[in-house]
Amino acid sequence: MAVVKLFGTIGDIAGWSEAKLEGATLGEIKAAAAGGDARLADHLDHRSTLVILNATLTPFSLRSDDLPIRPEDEVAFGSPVGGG
Amino acid sequence: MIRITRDPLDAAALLRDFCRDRLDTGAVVSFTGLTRGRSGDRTIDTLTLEAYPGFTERVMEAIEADARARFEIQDALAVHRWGPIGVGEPVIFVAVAAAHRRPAFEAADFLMDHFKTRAPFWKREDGPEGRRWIEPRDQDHNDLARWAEETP
Repeated sequence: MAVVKLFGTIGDIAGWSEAKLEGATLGEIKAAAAGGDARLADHLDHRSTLVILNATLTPFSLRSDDLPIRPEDEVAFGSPVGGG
Repeated sequence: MIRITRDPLDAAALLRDFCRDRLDTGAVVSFTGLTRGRSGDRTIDTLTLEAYPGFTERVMEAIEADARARFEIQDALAVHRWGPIGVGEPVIFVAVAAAHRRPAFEAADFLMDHFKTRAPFWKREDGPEGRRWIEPRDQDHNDLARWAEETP
Protein backbone atom coordinates (compact mmCIF):
# COMPACT_ATOMS: atom_id res chain seq x y z
CA MET A 1 0.00 0.00 0.00
CA ALA A 2 1.26 3.47 -0.83
CA VAL A 3 1.67 6.14 1.82
CA VAL A 4 -0.58 9.11 1.05
CA LYS A 5 -0.10 12.52 2.70
CA LEU A 6 -2.37 15.55 2.52
CA PHE A 7 -1.32 19.17 3.17
CA GLY A 8 -3.13 22.46 3.66
CA THR A 9 -6.86 22.81 3.07
CA ILE A 10 -6.96 19.38 1.44
CA GLY A 11 -5.97 17.75 4.73
CA ASP A 12 -8.55 19.85 6.57
CA ILE A 13 -11.31 18.77 4.19
CA ALA A 14 -10.31 15.11 4.49
CA GLY A 15 -9.89 15.20 8.26
CA TRP A 16 -6.64 13.22 8.05
CA SER A 17 -3.08 13.95 6.96
CA GLU A 18 -1.51 10.54 6.37
CA ALA A 19 -2.82 7.09 5.44
CA LYS A 20 -1.79 3.88 3.70
CA LEU A 21 -4.05 3.29 0.73
CA GLU A 22 -4.50 0.66 -1.95
CA GLY A 23 -4.10 1.75 -5.55
CA ALA A 24 -1.98 0.82 -8.56
CA THR A 25 -2.48 4.15 -10.35
CA LEU A 26 -2.75 7.80 -9.37
CA GLY A 27 -6.45 7.69 -10.26
CA GLU A 28 -7.04 4.75 -7.90
CA ILE A 29 -5.08 6.47 -5.13
CA LYS A 30 -7.15 9.64 -5.55
CA ALA A 31 -10.39 7.63 -5.47
CA ALA A 32 -9.27 5.78 -2.34
CA ALA A 33 -8.23 9.07 -0.68
CA ALA A 34 -11.51 10.81 -1.54
CA GLY A 35 -13.56 7.87 -0.27
CA GLY A 36 -16.69 9.15 -2.00
CA ASP A 37 -16.30 12.74 -0.78
CA ALA A 38 -17.02 14.78 -3.92
CA ARG A 39 -15.52 17.99 -2.53
CA LEU A 40 -12.29 16.24 -1.61
CA ALA A 41 -12.23 14.49 -5.01
CA ASP A 42 -12.52 17.90 -6.71
CA HIS A 43 -9.58 19.24 -4.72
CA LEU A 44 -7.41 16.20 -5.43
CA ASP A 45 -8.17 16.58 -9.13
CA HIS A 46 -7.73 20.36 -9.30
CA ARG A 47 -5.10 21.74 -11.63
CA SER A 48 -3.61 23.98 -8.90
CA THR A 49 -3.17 21.11 -6.44
CA LEU A 50 0.43 20.04 -5.92
CA VAL A 51 0.97 16.33 -6.58
CA ILE A 52 4.26 15.19 -5.06
CA LEU A 53 5.49 11.68 -5.84
CA ASN A 54 8.40 10.47 -3.70
CA ALA A 55 9.31 14.05 -2.73
CA THR A 56 9.34 15.26 -6.36
CA LEU A 57 6.72 17.59 -7.75
CA THR A 58 4.80 15.98 -10.62
CA PRO A 59 3.92 18.50 -13.33
CA PHE A 60 0.26 18.72 -14.32
CA SER A 61 1.06 17.34 -17.77
CA LEU A 62 2.53 14.15 -16.28
CA ARG A 63 -0.08 13.36 -13.68
CA SER A 64 -2.66 11.40 -15.60
CA ASP A 65 -4.91 9.05 -13.69
CA ASP A 66 -3.02 6.18 -15.36
CA LEU A 67 0.29 7.13 -13.72
CA PRO A 68 1.53 3.89 -12.09
CA ILE A 69 1.92 3.92 -8.30
CA ARG A 70 3.98 1.23 -6.57
CA PRO A 71 3.24 -0.01 -3.05
CA GLU A 72 6.49 1.55 -1.79
CA ASP A 73 5.66 4.97 -3.23
CA GLU A 74 4.74 8.03 -1.22
CA VAL A 75 2.14 10.30 -2.81
CA ALA A 76 1.33 13.73 -1.40
CA PHE A 77 -1.37 16.21 -2.34
CA GLY A 78 -1.10 19.83 -1.26
CA SER A 79 -3.20 22.91 -1.79
CA PRO A 80 -1.43 25.82 -3.58
CA VAL A 81 1.31 27.49 -1.52
CA GLY A 82 2.22 31.17 -1.15
CA GLY A 83 0.91 34.23 0.64
CA GLY A 84 1.08 35.25 4.27
CA MET B 1 22.40 26.16 3.10
CA ILE B 2 18.76 25.46 3.83
CA ARG B 3 17.30 24.31 7.13
CA ILE B 4 13.77 23.86 8.35
CA THR B 5 13.08 23.52 12.05
CA ARG B 6 10.21 23.40 14.52
CA ASP B 7 12.38 25.16 17.11
CA PRO B 8 12.26 28.94 17.74
CA LEU B 9 14.75 30.96 15.68
CA ASP B 10 17.40 33.12 17.32
CA ALA B 11 18.07 35.57 14.49
CA ALA B 12 20.90 37.34 16.34
CA ALA B 13 22.76 34.08 16.98
CA LEU B 14 22.22 32.91 13.39
CA LEU B 15 23.60 36.20 12.06
CA ARG B 16 26.58 36.13 14.42
CA ASP B 17 27.49 32.59 13.35
CA PHE B 18 26.99 33.42 9.67
CA CYS B 19 29.37 36.39 9.89
CA ARG B 20 32.12 34.47 11.67
CA ASP B 21 35.53 34.02 9.94
CA ARG B 22 34.61 35.78 6.71
CA LEU B 23 37.86 37.41 5.64
CA ASP B 24 36.87 37.94 1.99
CA THR B 25 33.33 39.16 2.63
CA GLY B 26 32.47 42.84 2.39
CA ALA B 27 28.72 42.60 2.88
CA VAL B 28 26.24 40.45 4.75
CA VAL B 29 22.56 41.21 4.24
CA SER B 30 20.07 39.49 6.51
CA PHE B 31 16.29 39.36 6.66
CA THR B 32 14.11 38.18 9.53
CA GLY B 33 10.42 37.59 8.88
CA LEU B 34 8.09 37.85 11.89
CA THR B 35 4.54 36.60 12.34
CA ARG B 36 2.02 39.45 12.33
CA GLY B 37 -0.72 39.77 14.93
CA ARG B 38 -3.20 41.14 12.40
CA SER B 39 -4.18 40.17 8.89
CA GLY B 40 -6.49 42.80 7.45
CA ASP B 41 -9.27 43.10 10.04
CA ARG B 42 -8.55 39.73 11.59
CA THR B 43 -6.69 39.19 14.85
CA ILE B 44 -4.22 36.32 14.79
CA ASP B 45 -3.15 34.37 17.85
CA THR B 46 -1.08 31.69 16.16
CA LEU B 47 0.34 31.06 12.73
CA THR B 48 0.81 27.37 11.93
CA LEU B 49 2.96 26.24 9.05
CA GLU B 50 2.81 22.73 7.68
CA ALA B 51 5.95 21.54 5.91
CA TYR B 52 6.79 18.37 4.03
CA PRO B 53 10.29 17.49 5.26
CA GLY B 54 12.39 16.11 2.42
CA PHE B 55 10.37 17.95 -0.21
CA THR B 56 10.23 21.43 1.34
CA GLU B 57 14.04 21.62 1.64
CA ARG B 58 14.47 20.31 -1.91
CA VAL B 59 12.38 23.15 -3.36
CA MET B 60 14.17 25.73 -1.20
CA GLU B 61 17.58 24.34 -2.23
CA ALA B 62 16.67 24.75 -5.90
CA ILE B 63 15.76 28.40 -5.21
CA GLU B 64 19.06 28.91 -3.38
CA ALA B 65 20.98 27.34 -6.29
CA ASP B 66 19.16 29.71 -8.65
CA ALA B 67 20.23 32.70 -6.51
CA ARG B 68 23.85 31.53 -6.40
CA ALA B 69 23.90 31.16 -10.19
CA ARG B 70 22.32 34.56 -10.71
CA PHE B 71 24.16 36.84 -8.29
CA GLU B 72 27.82 37.19 -7.35
CA ILE B 73 27.48 35.94 -3.81
CA GLN B 74 29.73 33.86 -1.61
CA ASP B 75 27.25 32.16 0.66
CA ALA B 76 23.59 31.99 1.59
CA LEU B 77 21.69 30.64 4.57
CA ALA B 78 17.95 30.25 5.03
CA VAL B 79 16.37 28.84 8.17
CA HIS B 80 12.60 28.44 8.05
CA ARG B 81 10.51 27.55 11.06
CA TRP B 82 7.39 25.41 10.85
CA GLY B 83 4.73 24.15 13.25
CA PRO B 84 2.79 26.54 15.53
CA ILE B 85 4.43 29.99 15.80
CA GLY B 86 3.36 32.73 18.21
CA VAL B 87 2.73 36.30 17.09
CA GLY B 88 5.88 38.40 16.90
CA GLU B 89 8.21 35.41 16.64
CA PRO B 90 10.65 34.91 13.75
CA VAL B 91 9.39 32.55 11.07
CA ILE B 92 12.27 32.86 8.60
CA PHE B 93 15.88 34.03 8.68
CA VAL B 94 17.83 34.63 5.49
CA ALA B 95 21.44 35.81 5.21
CA VAL B 96 23.59 36.37 2.14
CA ALA B 97 27.33 37.08 2.04
CA ALA B 98 29.09 38.76 -0.87
CA ALA B 99 32.23 40.74 -1.59
CA HIS B 100 30.09 43.84 -2.22
CA ARG B 101 26.72 44.98 -0.94
CA ARG B 102 24.62 45.20 -4.12
CA PRO B 103 24.53 41.48 -5.01
CA ALA B 104 23.96 40.66 -1.34
CA PHE B 105 20.88 42.93 -1.19
CA GLU B 106 19.55 41.64 -4.50
CA ALA B 107 20.08 37.97 -3.69
CA ALA B 108 18.36 38.31 -0.31
CA ASP B 109 15.40 40.04 -2.00
CA PHE B 110 15.28 37.36 -4.70
CA LEU B 111 15.40 34.55 -2.15
CA MET B 112 12.57 36.01 -0.10
CA ASP B 113 10.31 36.64 -3.10
CA HIS B 114 10.79 33.06 -4.25
CA PHE B 115 10.55 31.40 -0.85
CA LYS B 116 7.36 33.34 -0.17
CA THR B 117 5.72 32.18 -3.36
CA ARG B 118 7.17 28.75 -4.07
CA ALA B 119 8.49 27.18 -0.86
CA PRO B 120 6.04 24.45 0.14
CA PHE B 121 4.71 25.64 3.47
CA TRP B 122 0.98 25.55 4.07
CA LYS B 123 0.04 28.44 6.35
CA ARG B 124 -2.92 28.64 8.68
CA GLU B 125 -4.00 31.51 10.90
CA ASP B 126 -5.95 30.86 14.10
CA GLY B 127 -7.61 33.61 16.08
CA PRO B 128 -10.86 34.72 17.76
CA GLU B 129 -12.61 34.74 14.38
CA GLY B 130 -11.64 31.13 13.71
CA ARG B 131 -9.27 29.38 11.36
CA ARG B 132 -8.18 30.54 7.92
CA TRP B 133 -5.78 28.97 5.43
CA ILE B 134 -3.63 31.52 3.64
CA GLU B 135 -3.93 31.44 -0.13
CA PRO B 136 -1.49 32.82 -2.69
CA ARG B 137 -2.01 36.56 -3.31
CA ASP B 138 -1.67 38.47 -6.57
CA GLN B 139 1.02 40.58 -4.91
CA ASP B 140 3.20 37.49 -4.44
CA HIS B 141 3.04 36.72 -8.14
CA ASN B 142 3.77 40.36 -8.98
CA ASP B 143 6.83 40.20 -6.70
CA LEU B 144 8.02 37.11 -8.55
CA ALA B 145 7.38 38.60 -11.99
CA ARG B 146 9.83 41.38 -11.14
CA TRP B 147 12.71 38.91 -11.42
CA ALA B 148 11.58 37.56 -14.79
CA GLU B 149 11.63 41.08 -16.19
CA GLU B 150 15.08 41.71 -14.78
CA THR B 151 16.73 38.52 -16.06
CA PRO B 152 20.29 39.46 -17.00
